[in-house]
Amino acid sequence: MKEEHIKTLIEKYEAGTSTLEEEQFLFENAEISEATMQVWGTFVERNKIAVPNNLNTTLWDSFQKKKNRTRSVKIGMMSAAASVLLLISLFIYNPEQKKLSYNEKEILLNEALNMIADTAQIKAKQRIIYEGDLITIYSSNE
Amino acid sequence: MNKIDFKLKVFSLSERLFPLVTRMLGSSANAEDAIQEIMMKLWAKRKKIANHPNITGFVFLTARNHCIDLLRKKTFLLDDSSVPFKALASTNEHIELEWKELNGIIQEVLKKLPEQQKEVFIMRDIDGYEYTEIASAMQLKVENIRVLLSRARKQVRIELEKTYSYERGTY
Repeated sequence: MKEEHIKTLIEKYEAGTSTLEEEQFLFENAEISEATMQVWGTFVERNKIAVPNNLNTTLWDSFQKKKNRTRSVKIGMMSAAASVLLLISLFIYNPEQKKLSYNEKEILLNEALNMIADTAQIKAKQRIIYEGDLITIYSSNE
Repeated sequence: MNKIDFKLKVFSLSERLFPLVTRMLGSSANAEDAIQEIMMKLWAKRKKIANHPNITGFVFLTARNHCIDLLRKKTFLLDDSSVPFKALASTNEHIELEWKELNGIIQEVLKKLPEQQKEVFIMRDIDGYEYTEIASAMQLKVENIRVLLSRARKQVRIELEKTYSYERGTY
């Protein structure tokens, strides 16, 4: 009965249709008649990689630490980038207005004076209100 | 996906990934670091993962790809290429000798298998992964995994039978 059962299991095993439980059973219960299965079972048993106890918990703890560290690194990077950006923008946008040299100012001033030269003469003319022998009354905007 | 969801659905697979990563990288210390890195990667992608139809499969795939990347870059030293199959210490000398011989024979048999068959075979028989887990890690269909596995198992049996009948003959 048991042998029969193992035989069908081996068939399933070799077809790739056995479940993990069936495979476990096979590795542990193969008789001498299935020498190769027994050999393989021993090999499997001795090569299983043992998972350390509480691996999930220990990994989770260090994961959280790392996550926080990367977050603070990120914040640091961001603030560094922001200050560099601020410096660059200050450099590009110079708040001081463009200053003209004295020569340029003089030229501009003269030009302006030339424009109003004529009117200035007219305005400067005296308007005589009264003219007598002794006295002359005039208005002037000077 | 928030932190609690992530811990439950993704991070809890760390223990499950451990044998795979250890075997690929060759040492358990490397494996723990690698799993940590894998989880950081997954955490960065958590928004995408939340809508993934097969989260476990995605985690397995990410893990295997990460190991392949590491092996390609060789950012760490492999202690010994044969580490995954190092013999465990045993108190009985006779059994130990027998075991060493057996171990050597099976190593040789495994070496002869095609790379993909060998990987599937080890993942299933030694590490005890589900078909679906192997399939998503290797980006194959479950049917393909079964076929690869079936071929490898038959091949190993034939090889072992050869060696053992030969050995019996010499006694």
